[in-house]
Amino acid sequence: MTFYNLLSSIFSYIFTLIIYLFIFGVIRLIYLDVKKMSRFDDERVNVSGLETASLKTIQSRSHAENELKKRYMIYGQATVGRNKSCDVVLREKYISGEHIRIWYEKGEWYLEDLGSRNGTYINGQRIRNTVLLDAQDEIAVGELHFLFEL
Amino acid sequence: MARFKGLNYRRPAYLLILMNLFGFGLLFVKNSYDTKMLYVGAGLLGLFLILYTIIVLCRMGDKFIALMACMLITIGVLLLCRIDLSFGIRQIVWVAVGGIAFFVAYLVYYHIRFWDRMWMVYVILGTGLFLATLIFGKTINGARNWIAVGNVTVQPSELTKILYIMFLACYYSKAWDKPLGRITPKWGTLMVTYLFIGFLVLQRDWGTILVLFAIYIFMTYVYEKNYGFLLMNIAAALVVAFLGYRFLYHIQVRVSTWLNPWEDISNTGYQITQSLFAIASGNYFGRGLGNGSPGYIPEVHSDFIFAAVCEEMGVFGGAAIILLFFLIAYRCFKIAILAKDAYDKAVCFGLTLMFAVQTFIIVGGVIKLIPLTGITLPFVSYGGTSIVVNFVSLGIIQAISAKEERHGGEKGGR
Repeated sequence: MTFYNLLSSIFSYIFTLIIYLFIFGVIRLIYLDVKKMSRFDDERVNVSGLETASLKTIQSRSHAENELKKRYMIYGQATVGRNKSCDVVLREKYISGEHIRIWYEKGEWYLEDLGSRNGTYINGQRIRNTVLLDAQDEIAVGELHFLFEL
Repeated sequence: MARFKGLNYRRPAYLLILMNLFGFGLLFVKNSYDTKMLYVGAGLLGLFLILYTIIVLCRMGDKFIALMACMLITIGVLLLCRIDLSFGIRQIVWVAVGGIAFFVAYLVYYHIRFWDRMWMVYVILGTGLFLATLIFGKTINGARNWIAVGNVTVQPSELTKILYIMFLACYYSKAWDKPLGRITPKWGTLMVTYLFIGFLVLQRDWGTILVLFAIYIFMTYVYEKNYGFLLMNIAAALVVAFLGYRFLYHIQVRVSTWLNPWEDISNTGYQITQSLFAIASGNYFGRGLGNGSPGYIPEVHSDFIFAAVCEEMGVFGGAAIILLFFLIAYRCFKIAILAKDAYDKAVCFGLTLMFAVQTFIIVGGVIKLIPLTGITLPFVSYGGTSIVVNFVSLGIIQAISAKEERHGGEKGGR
């Protein structure tokens, strides 16, 4: 029985280690989760001091719909596309890796197409060059429709 | 990159598996290589894996709460198997039942939308359960709160806690705003609270009274703008507590053993002093699973399991349990804050309070921080009804978090 007692007391340290590693792992994942959410979801607080605008999702029959947020915030400038490096990531098959860029300059908002394959439509018209955006413009990329709001 | 990310969130799950393997392996050696122990461990591990896999694959909202609950159950079952193997085996059967109850509660809560209109149903069901307990009840350890159904004894008051929380949520989510006759909802909730507490007094189930009343007070504190109402309730509680202390021998004993258990060490103070000895002998890292002597503490498998954990896994083990409950409460509060629906918010908040208050009361009682009232430590203690009811509340919280994740602002699960 003494062998068992020794084994057991050694294991008591191992158990403590495992439990605390477990807790640490959970805390780390929760922390990562919180960081990920606050980077994209904080709509009311604008800490950047930049000009803000937003893309409001219009209901469409796209398959990607349940993955979409109701509103995407834009702080100063944003690229929209399928790549993870984009500020607004839209996972939809007709959207290019880097589809459009929206930015603020001297009191106006601009939009340019970054050479997407399927083009960008503003209020139903396909755009060729950089365009000036107005509030309530409807932006169509791929099969998704957004309303540009200030 | 994607693969690395996948590995990331499974890592705590690996640690959980490791804990099970080591723990049951150790107990296997202790019970002189009795293969029954290995079956028990494999069964428990299998249950956890099924539960966790379904949660991750079906994108059932938050992944961490169930994982932490599994860790708590692991610690509990290890201790129970060490105290008495038959307790451990029965506990695992209850965990299996609880797992099924978890998914049933999840599906039912997720798909039914009219929970907030049924306050009357909750009151009637709750009262019915109380009456059934009073009529058919059995008295175990001074509390008449057990009903024997065939071979198993169940504790209906555990279930009443969930009904009561769902009832309170009806009022606080403003779904119940029409007065019934001359009774406004606010006073209605007050009356139902005291009705339930009255039934519990008849059953001498002091722990549940404390839990229900704490839930009521905290909910009022969070939702009610009128602090006078809150203060009035607290004052009423103090008066009742004082009267109880004056006239009920039972409560006097509890308080006197809390103030000085050494006075009557062989009789009324026996349990709490043994618990304190056990905690003290555990030291920082514990004496090791199987080296302690938790058998000296009465009721060590249910109410006093925390003392056994402290003895065999050390103060660090005990602190880990408290930390796990903290994290569970944090996650659940977060779900409650993010929930869009007012009723979901209130229910999630109430259930979280239930876990938190119960943990505080029993851990505080075992370490002689507050007077002792018998109540189970959620997920850790032995107790069929308690495990099942905790799993049901977990399922409801999971459903709320899944709703939030699927219909709310953020993208679907990873």
